[in-house]
Amino acid sequence: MKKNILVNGLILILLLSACKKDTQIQTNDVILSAKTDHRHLKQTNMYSSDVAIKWMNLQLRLMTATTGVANVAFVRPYAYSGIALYEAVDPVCQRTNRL
Amino acid sequence: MPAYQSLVGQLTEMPALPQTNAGQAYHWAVSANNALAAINRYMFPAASDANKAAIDSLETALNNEYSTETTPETISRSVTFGKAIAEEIINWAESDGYLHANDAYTPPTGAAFWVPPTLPLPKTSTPYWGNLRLLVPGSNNNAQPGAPISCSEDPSSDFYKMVLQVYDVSQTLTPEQTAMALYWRDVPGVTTPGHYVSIIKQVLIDSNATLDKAALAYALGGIAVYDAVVSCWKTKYQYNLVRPITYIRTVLGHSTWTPLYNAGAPGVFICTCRCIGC
Repeated sequence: MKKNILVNGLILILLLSACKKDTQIQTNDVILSAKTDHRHLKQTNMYSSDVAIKWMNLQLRLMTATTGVANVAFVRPYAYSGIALYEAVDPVCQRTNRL
Repeated sequence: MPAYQSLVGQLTEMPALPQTNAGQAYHWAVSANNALAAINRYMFPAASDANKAAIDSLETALNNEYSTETTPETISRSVTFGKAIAEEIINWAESDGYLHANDAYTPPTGAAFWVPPTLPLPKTSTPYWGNLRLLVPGSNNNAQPGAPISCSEDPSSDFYKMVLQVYDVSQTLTPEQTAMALYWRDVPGVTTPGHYVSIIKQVLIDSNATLDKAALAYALGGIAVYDAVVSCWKTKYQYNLVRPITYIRTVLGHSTWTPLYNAGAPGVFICTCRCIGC
């Protein structure tokens, strides 16, 4: 019984060690890739959407206040803001959020 | 990992965009802040002094807030990148055809056609908005709805019955129906596109979304609404269908009838709200 526990414990340690090593290799790969592939360590999904929400609030104020312009014309600030935002943030986020 | 998918090459005639520097850090909220400030400055040239100041103020406040989170070099690099992206987007947007959306246009005349409030058409009519460059190539393929029900003054016609239904409903509006209609009114208000910005914003807040999700939602929503409206306007100025207010007054004989609120111009078919889903 004690022998089984010892063997199982040894196997568990080896597995955990292997996992840790594997994780370290993956992390190194990410860093290396970041340095050569226009990727950056703090990804966009680590930021809150606060900046986008604040600009949406102001854009709504601007839309509401603008007169003498066709209602439909406000699709331009909406669409081009979204496109500019999408392109201005780290491409890393777009690897998993593809349009 | 799936390959990076910039919109360059996917959206119509979209130019190449500036790239980030390999291996250098960026603060993405700063890039976003400066890109959005530049776009809004460009899109609202006639904003009041107070609103122009509000754009400057928000941009500065956010830059100051984020400056405590990283190095000055990273902030500077991110500011430059965000502005550079916006500059290219603005240059591209300038050629989308909006400058000719209000070129001279003579609407057709006759009982079946929309009656403009003034001639020449007011600037809010945008008769050539349907010619704007689509963002997604071919997004309007097979999207045109075909001709509306033929306009007829015959009381047994489908057209007459359709407009009569509008009139009948207007005579029995409940307080709830009135409140609902006024709640969703676009102008005066946040405008039709603005309603969608509001909804996306609400979803982002409620879901505590991160910046990547916000960018994706803003881009997808804006692209969809933009192309839908271009297609919608092409239909409107193809048929120039008479609006209910004209038909109810002249054909149904209720000469002083007015809708709950002015639904605006131009032709009633096809309804903008039906195109973009509101």
